[in-house]
This record gives sequence, C-alpha cells and structure tokens, in this order.
Amino acid sequence: MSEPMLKVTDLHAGYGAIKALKGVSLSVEAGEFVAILGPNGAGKSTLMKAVLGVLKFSTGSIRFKGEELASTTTVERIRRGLGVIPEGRQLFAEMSVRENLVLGAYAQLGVTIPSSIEEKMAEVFDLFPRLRERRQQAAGTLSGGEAQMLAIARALMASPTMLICDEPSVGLSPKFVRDLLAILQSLRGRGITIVLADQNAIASLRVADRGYILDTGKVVATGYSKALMEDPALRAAYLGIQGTL
Amino acid sequence: MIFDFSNVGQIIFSGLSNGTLYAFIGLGFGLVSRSTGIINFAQGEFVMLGAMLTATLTQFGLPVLLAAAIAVAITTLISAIFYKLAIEPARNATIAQLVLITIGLSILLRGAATTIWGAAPIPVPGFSGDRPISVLGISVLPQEIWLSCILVVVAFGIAWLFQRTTIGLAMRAGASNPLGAAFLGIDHRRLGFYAFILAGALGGIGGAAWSPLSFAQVDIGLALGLKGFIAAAIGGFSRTYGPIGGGILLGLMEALGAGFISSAYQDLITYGVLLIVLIYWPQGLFGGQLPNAHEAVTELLSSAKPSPTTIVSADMYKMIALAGVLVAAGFSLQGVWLTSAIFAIILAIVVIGLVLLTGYCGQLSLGQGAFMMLGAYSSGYLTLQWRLYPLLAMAVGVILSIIVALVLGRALFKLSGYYLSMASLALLMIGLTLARELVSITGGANGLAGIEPITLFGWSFSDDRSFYALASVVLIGVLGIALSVTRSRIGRSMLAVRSSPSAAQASGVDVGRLKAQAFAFSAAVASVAGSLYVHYLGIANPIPFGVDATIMQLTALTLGGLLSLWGAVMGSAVVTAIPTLILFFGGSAANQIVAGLQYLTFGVLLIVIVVFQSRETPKPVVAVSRLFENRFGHRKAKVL
Amino acid sequence: MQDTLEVEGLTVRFGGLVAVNDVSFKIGANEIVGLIGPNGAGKTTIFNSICGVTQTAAGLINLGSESLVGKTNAQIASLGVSRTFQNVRLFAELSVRDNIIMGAYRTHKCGFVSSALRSPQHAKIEKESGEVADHWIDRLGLRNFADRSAASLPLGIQRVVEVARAMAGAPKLVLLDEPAAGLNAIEKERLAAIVKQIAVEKCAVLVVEHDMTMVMPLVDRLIVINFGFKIADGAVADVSRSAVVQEAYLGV
Ligand SMILES: Nc1ncnc2c1ncn2[C@@H]1O[C@H](COP(=O)(O)OP(=O)(O)OP(=O)(O)O)[C@@H](O)[C@H]1O
Ligand SMILES: Nc1ncnc2c1ncn2[C@@H]1O[C@H](COP(=O)(O)OP(=O)(O)O)[C@@H](O)[C@H]1O
Ligand SMILES: [Mg+2]
Ligand SMILES: [Mg+2]
Repeated sequence: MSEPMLKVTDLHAGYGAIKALKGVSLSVEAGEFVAILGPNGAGKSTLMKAVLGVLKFSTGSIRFKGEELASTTTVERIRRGLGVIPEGRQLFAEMSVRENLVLGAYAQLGVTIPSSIEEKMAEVFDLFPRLRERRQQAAGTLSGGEAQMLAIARALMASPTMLICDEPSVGLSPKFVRDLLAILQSLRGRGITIVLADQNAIASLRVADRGYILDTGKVVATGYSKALMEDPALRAAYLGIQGTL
Repeated sequence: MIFDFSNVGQIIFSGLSNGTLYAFIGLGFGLVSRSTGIINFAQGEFVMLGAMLTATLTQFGLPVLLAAAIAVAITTLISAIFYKLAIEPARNATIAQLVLITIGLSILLRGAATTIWGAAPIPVPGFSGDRPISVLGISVLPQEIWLSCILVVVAFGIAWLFQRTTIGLAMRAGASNPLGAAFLGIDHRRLGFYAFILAGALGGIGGAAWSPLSFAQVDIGLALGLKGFIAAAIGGFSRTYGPIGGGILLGLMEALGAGFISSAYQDLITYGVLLIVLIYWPQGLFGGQLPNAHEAVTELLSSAKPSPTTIVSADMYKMIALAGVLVAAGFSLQGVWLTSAIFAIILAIVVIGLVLLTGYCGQLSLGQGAFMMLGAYSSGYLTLQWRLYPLLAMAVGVILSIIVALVLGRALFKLSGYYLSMASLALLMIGLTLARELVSITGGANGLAGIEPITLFGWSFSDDRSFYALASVVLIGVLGIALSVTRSRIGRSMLAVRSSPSAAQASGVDVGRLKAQAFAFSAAVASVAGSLYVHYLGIANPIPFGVDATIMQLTALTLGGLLSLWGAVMGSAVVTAIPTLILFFGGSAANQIVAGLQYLTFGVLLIVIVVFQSRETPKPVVAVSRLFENRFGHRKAKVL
Repeated sequence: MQDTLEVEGLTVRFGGLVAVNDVSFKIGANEIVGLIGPNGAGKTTIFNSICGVTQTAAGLINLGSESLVGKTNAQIASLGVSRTFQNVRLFAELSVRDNIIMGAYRTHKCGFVSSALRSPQHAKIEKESGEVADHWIDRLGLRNFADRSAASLPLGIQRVVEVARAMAGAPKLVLLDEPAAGLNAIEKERLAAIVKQIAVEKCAVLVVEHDMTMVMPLVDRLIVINFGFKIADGAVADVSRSAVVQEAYLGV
C-alpha cells in the first residue's frame, strides 16, 4: 500500500483566538511506533484531539487508512479503527472498574454482554493486578495512578488498528511507567500502530521507531529515534538532558 | 369516624392506585436521567398528552384500546421529534442547558394542549369496562389492574435494559462522560434519542392507561410530573425499582393524609415529604447514586476571556444608559404599556436575584414565587391588620424571606445541582397551599383587598406614573447592589466555586454558606418584588406567584443570559411584553387560547434561545475533565 | 521548636479497605518532606485527611497546637493549610491573577453585606490581596499570563499557578500532590527550584512525587508509604538505598 496509515497535512487548529497548530504535517505507517514530543503547550494534545475529531480544524487534512476524516464524528473514527488513551483519562466515574472495562470493548459487542469478554478481561487484569482486586470499585474513587491504569486497560480491551496515547504515564509510579512502555511495545509487536505523546521524552524515544518534535504549533524536527536522541541541539532544547544518555 | 376496615382498605388501595401512576412517571425520569443525565421536566406533560389523546380519539368513536395505542404512538413521536429538533441541535449544551430545554418543552406542550383542547376535563372509558370488582370488600376497577400489570412489564423491561444489555451500559456511560463514551465508539446522541423515545412511550402509556381512572385534562402534567419526580427522588434515580417504591410510598402517604387529616393539606404533605427527603436522604430512601450533573448550571462555557471581578467603566456606562431608558420610558409610555413596564420592573427585580443564584452559584430556583408571597402577604396583612407603615411591612417580608432562605439553604447546600430546583418548587407548592388555606391571614383564594399604596414623606405612590418611578428607583438600587456583589470578593468566590468547588473549599471558601447567602439575596429581592406588586394592585392573592410566574422568570433569565444583570432587565421587558402583545393582537380570542398561546410562546422562546446559545460557544475540553470532580456531589467526592 | 504538622496513628477506611493504616510522622517548619509510594499506597488519602476532605477512622492530626480532626475543609484552610491537586483544579473562568487572589481569600474575613456595600474594609482587603497576588505573579514569572483565563493555559503553567495560589494564602503547611505530573524535565527543574524557594517562607512543605530524579535533590527527608503503611522515614540517601523501598516502589 502506498498511502501511510495516518497522514496529516498542513493542519491548522486552535481554540478561538488561540492558534495551537500552525501547519503541522506528519505521517505514520502501518505498524509503526511514533513518538510526538515537545514542551507543554506545544500542541501535542491539540493534534490528537483533531485526529480524534474532538476539535474541528480550520484548514489542512487528516487521512486515516486512505480516507479523509474531516467531516466524520469521533464515534465514526473509533469505528474505523482508532483507539485512544485519552488526556485526563475520561473514565466513567460512577461506574465500576469492571463496567468501564466491558465498555472498552463496546465496538465489538452485540446487544448483550458475551461471556467471552471474561477472557479478555483476565488478560488485562494480569497486566494490572490492582484492577482485578478493585473490580467492583467505582472508577471515580480510584487513586490517580489506578485511574490511569484503568484508562490504559480500557483502551486495551478494544482492538484498534491504531492506538493514540496522550500522556499515558501521568501519575504512574516508576515501575508502572516501565511496564506501560513494555506493554505498548508488545502491542506494536502484534501489529498495532502506535502514536505516543509523553513527557518522558527519552524513554518514549527508546521504544519508538520515529519521533516528531513539536513546538508552538509547528513540527521543528523529525527523524528516527536514534538520530533525534543523538542531536545535541535537540537534547538541550527539548529532551531535557545535558549529559550522556 | 367509625373505624372500618374496608374504608381504610379503600383508602390504602386508592393510594396504591395513584402511586402506580407516580411510579410510572418516576420510571420515566429515572430512565432519561440514567441514560442522558438530563432531568426531563416534560415527563409529566407526556402523560398529559397520552391521556388527552386517548380521550379525544375515544370521543371520535375509536375503541379505547386502539385510541390508547395511537395516543402512545403520537406521544412517542412527539418525544422523538423533540429530541431531533431541540436536544440534538444543542450540540455543545451543558446538562443544565438541556434541562432548560426540557422545561421549555413542558411549557410548550402545555400551551399547545391548552390552545387545542381548552381546560374542560374529558372522561375516558376503561380498557375493559368500568364495573368495579370487589376484592376483600375493597372495590377495584379493572383499569387499576391494567395499570399495575403494565407497570410491572415496563419495570422488568427497564431492568433488563440496564442490567443485561450493552446498550443500557453504554447509555449510563454516555450520561457519565460523553467524551469518554465517544472515545469508545459509543454514540451517546443516538442512545439519548432512544432514551427519549422510550420516555415518550412510557409517558404516553402511563397517561393512556391512567386516563380512564380520572378525567383527562390539560393542566395535570405539571403536578403529575412533580409527583413522578418525587417518586424518583424518594426511591433513588439510579435504582430500577426505586421509583416504584417511591411512587407507591408517596401515593399511600397522600391517600392516608387526605383520608385521615385533611385533603386541603394534601399538597403540604407531599411537598413537605419531598423537602425532608431532599435534605436528609438526598440519594433516595433506598440508596443509589445521585442523578448526574450535580453542579446544575456549572459547567461553564468559559472561553479564553476571563470573567471580570472588579467594576469596570463599561458597568458604569450601562448603568447610566439603563437609567436613561427608564426615564425615557417613564415619560413616553401610556396605559397598558406603562402597566406592562411596571410588571417588567417587578419581574426584573426577581430575575436579578436569580442571576446571582443561578448564574453565579449554579443553583436553579423554581420557587421564587414563595418569597414573593412572603413579601406580598407580609405587606398585605401587616398594613391591613396592624396598620403598619408599608415600607416597614415590606422590610418584615424581606427579613422573613432571608430567614427562610438561610435556614433552608444551609440544610440543602451540602448538596448541589437540581436539589435546590426541586426543593424550591416544593417550597412554592407549600406556600401556595398555605396561601389558599390559612384564610385568617391570607384571605384564602379571594385574597386580601384594599391594601394601601406605598407612602414616603407624605407622598403616596398611588397612580401608575409615580409608582413606575418608585419601582425604577428600587430596580436601580437592586441592580446596583447585585452588580456590586458580582464585582467583589464575594462574586469572585462564587465564580471560583462554580469552576471547582473542591479547590474553592481548599482556599477557605465556605461553599454552603456562600450559596445560602446568594439564595437569601435572591429571596430578599423576590420579597421586595412581591410587596411592590401588592401595593401597586392593592390586592394580594396567590395567582400571580404560582408556577406561571416561575416560567416567566426562567424565560427572562435565559433570554438575558444567565450571568448578565443587564440581560435580566432586558429579558424581563421582553417577557412581560409578550402577553401584552398577545392580548393586544388577539384580545378578542377566548381567554384560554390566549393563555395557551402565552405558554406556547414562552416554551418556544426558551428552547430556541437555549439551543441557539449552546451552539454559539463551544464547550472547552476542560469542562469535560471537570465533570469528573462534580460527579459525586460534595459528600462523596474523591479529591485527587 | 514545635513541629508544624504532627500526624499520629492516622487510619482511614473505605468500607473494608484500610487505605491508610496507623501512619505517624512529623514535619518541622521550613522542612521539605517527600511522600512517596506506589500507586494506590494512600498518599492522596493522607492529604485529604489532613485537609478534612476525607473522614479519618482513627488518629490525631495537629497543626501546631491545633487539632485538625473533625474540622471542615474550609476551616482547615483558614488555619493555614494550602494544597495543590493531583489533577490540576484551577478556577477555569477566572484570570490567573484572580485565581491567585482566591488563594489569599483565607487571610481575610469580609462578609456578604460588607462586600455588597463596598465598605472601606472590602476595598482594603481587595487591595491587599491584589498586592499579594502580584507579588507571586512576579516571583513565579507569571506576568505574561496574569490576565488570561486559567483554562486556556498549558498544563506546565497551570501547575505553577496552582503553586502560586497555594502560597498566596501565606500558609504554614503546603501540600503538593504530584506537582510535576505531566511536566517535562526542564519544567520539572524549574518547578523544583520554585518549591525550594517557598520553603524559605517559613512554611513546611509535604510533596508527593513519583519522579525520583526530581524528588531526591528537592527534599530534606523522605517518607515512604506502601499499602497504607509507613515503611520508611528518614534522610533521602538512606531511604532510597533501603532494600524494602527499592522493591516496593522502584520495582527493581
Ligand atoms: N472513596 C474511596 N472508596 C474506596 N476506595 C478508595 C476511595 N478513595 C481511595 N480509595 C482507595 O484507597 C487507596 C489509596 O488511594 P490514594 O488516592 O490515597 O492513593 P495514592 O497513594 O495517592 O496513589 P497514586 O499515586 O496513584 O495517586 C487506593 O487503592 C484507592 O483505590
Ligand atoms: N481548552 C483550551 N482553550 C484555550 N486554549 C487552549 C485549550 N487547550 C489548550 N490550549 C492552548 O493550546 C496550546 C496547545 O495546547 P496542547 O495541545 O494542550 O499542548 P500539549 O499537549 O503539547 O501540552 C497551548 O498554548 C494551550 O494554552
Ligand atoms: Mg497535552
Ligand atoms: Mg494520589
């Protein structure tokens, strides 16, 4: 196939008077793992919101699997194979952990809840044993980190072709951050395309194939992970490391 | 009274029978609130439609079951159309705005029904005859059996929907967090559409099945809706069978109260119970979750532009401009238009209080009429009986209102959201009952007559023009104080509470106290308005302070924009002008058509304005993440 | 010298779950203490019980000589406890300056009537809290954002505004719940410097943070919580080397 899985061209988007994206172009091939980096306010979340259809964009185009997304709704985009670990988790606070997880697989469910869902849930629980213990707890009463685990687990319940992760490691303790990156890597091993925006720049570049660095709404650098990590100018300006890796 | 089992049994049974209907309506409320987060104020009107349509169709000679089926179909269709035309286009609406839209619909439906059918009650034959069957000495109508059987079937259906199906689960998810739901491919708009279809059908079925037990009448919707809401509130919104328990409990209480105490005070019992439940068992007697959208008018459509918190020069210019307009109008208006202007000013005074309470504190009050009555009757009674100086009597009303509002407010504002709406409505209903029944003070339905005009320094404000001048001065005064409040430390903390109650508390703001103070302010100005009203007309009776007044206040408030004090004045002017205009052009038409048209206009206005407003400002993403915090109300909030 | 905060035998239950189990610790004035532990260990719950948001099942919490148990959130704030939230909670529709003025709310008393009538006292309070806000705006480098609504700011700036709001109340104790979550390495460094600075104000700081590279140079002492129990309390170097912490928290 010639066209990449996701192709964003000259995207402009913003919030009223605030222009958050000023002509962003990027592409993600099927099966690739791409990191989106950049300081806070660079426009990473805005880019993801535009891809997901939460934010309308003024000019530019977003093509997914060869089709233009501009006029489609978020729901439609999810049905076409997008999956998301959203900014701010977006859990169903008064519903139980279990119900949140079942809903994660909503797109594949029929009218009633099949028993086969238990297997899938068991897999996810193996990754996050804490959630198994808290199956019946209301999602809104989970601790910050537990809630983040649930957001990740819920996204894993779906079977997207492309998973968009906006700051998935926020609030996770060090051990779980490492687990998370390993999980994302294994998903990618199963052929799922991954787009990751995270503040752990170096850690995400280590697992990603390629990276884009955004600043004030523009792509300022792009390349293979290794090249980005080794560029001294980028390291000082965006990756927050002075010394060696 | 001789104690007689069959008599008690009969009373209990009639309570059960009414309770079944309340349960029906309560189920409708629960269904919509669980699946969309909206409290559908039109639920009672769906029942009215079901009943009226069944009645009309049987009058055309259709067999009653066929008539009922068609009535249910039409009611369902109306609900579906309403969703498509009013709820769905309100794309960025907050839950609070959607609730306002349903209030608009309920007014509209009532108006349309009044225009079409008039006020006369219509009898409806039972589905299978009207011959009572005697069971244990209690006479039971076949229709009552029909009603309870249908209720059981419907309840099982709803239980199945929410407990066994993916759709039910997804509906709850959509109500809980629409954005989160969309991220999983859940089309919450479509599910909301289904919910409204079901709610319409449910209302229609309830109305059709109940109408043979009573008469079909166009004005039953409001009272039935309220009782259904009470059933859901008592039973717990999120419980499938809760509204049934609540409805039956309410029906029994009413019947026993009417049977053994006094039927005149039946409403007092009903609404008293509602108040007590709201205060002590906010999650319903049987537990469960609070309905969604706890910060009723909270999730603000904030943009990049922050709200002002100090007086700016624009405020001053606007104040001067308003004074100018008032003076110009005072010199140029004549006759009915001058009267209309006086009523507009009185309305504006009430609505200004609501801007603080509803706009700034996110608390929707539907019962300002109760405080207007406190003012009105204080003025009337004290000047007539105690020969008190009018301004002093007015002050007494203000103090009483402040006390009632503070006491009730402190009890209620541990909670937030629709609780005040319901509690204040209950207060209004209690007030109306008392005004009707405490004849020695209020003069009952006839009211008090011969109330003297306000005098000041020997000058009597008895003619329209001088009263207009007085009212204008009061308006400017009230507006000035309200403006001063909103642009002060207090106004800033109100805005803070609206954005994040937990952070406001962590900054030392006593949230409950602040809201209670806003409530007291709104009560005080409503009381002043009530006093002005009776001194102007010279008579005091309950009519101008009922639910119709609430509807006008709400429309004016919405029209002007919830946060705008100037808007409150303009909204009031428009809303008062509408009835005058309708009378002006359609004066010859039958009275009831005029009343119906008024409702209709207000309903349409309310819906159109809110839909329009909600489309114009996109809801920022922050608001959605903030929902997280508000979900559980203050008591259960998990603070991260 | 008396400790600023003294927690003794604190226990918090949620149904059958004991989220905080018999935890005791002290914090002195001017001290910066780190509170660390794996996800769900009970850190935020400890914060919430100090602030009066969560009911405690047992234990004492004293701020100086004042007991905080049984007081409301707002009362405790008025006694001099400020906090930030794990998920930023600014007043979205207020400007940055007004957000920070709200932080100073607790330092004055001025009722509804006095504000409505614009008493001289109200004017004085408004002036003073405005000055306090301006002080923190300048000190934390927020001048360029002062008139923007909080909702429109990038997260990194929002975190700083939260710290400024907490400090504007001239607190005795500041609780920072993951103040650097979602910040990048550069922003974290900047925030750490700010936190170091504010401890100079004679206030005690208790900070929850998962990023050890940020915590270690920042704090004077570390308290480690796991499954609701306190498992370590001491100097940074000792605690971070202890095997039990390594295993429980860092997962190595
Ligand atoms: N209201 C509640 N009901 C039931 N369990 C609760 C409630 N609040 C908190 N918990 C549980 O208590 C435990 C401690 O939660 P807490 O928020 O204090 O964790 P934390 O240490 O702050 O974790 P994190 O680093 O993930 O933020 C968690 O397991 C959480 O699920
Ligand atoms: N809801 C909003 N309203 C107004 N401006 C916003 C909003 N959300 C983000 N912005 C602005 O858009 C820009 C990009 O933000 P964002 O995409 O969230 O950045 P990132 O995810 O890279 O940290 C920032 O300047 C931010 O201030
Ligand atoms: Mg972001
Ligand atoms: Mg926490």
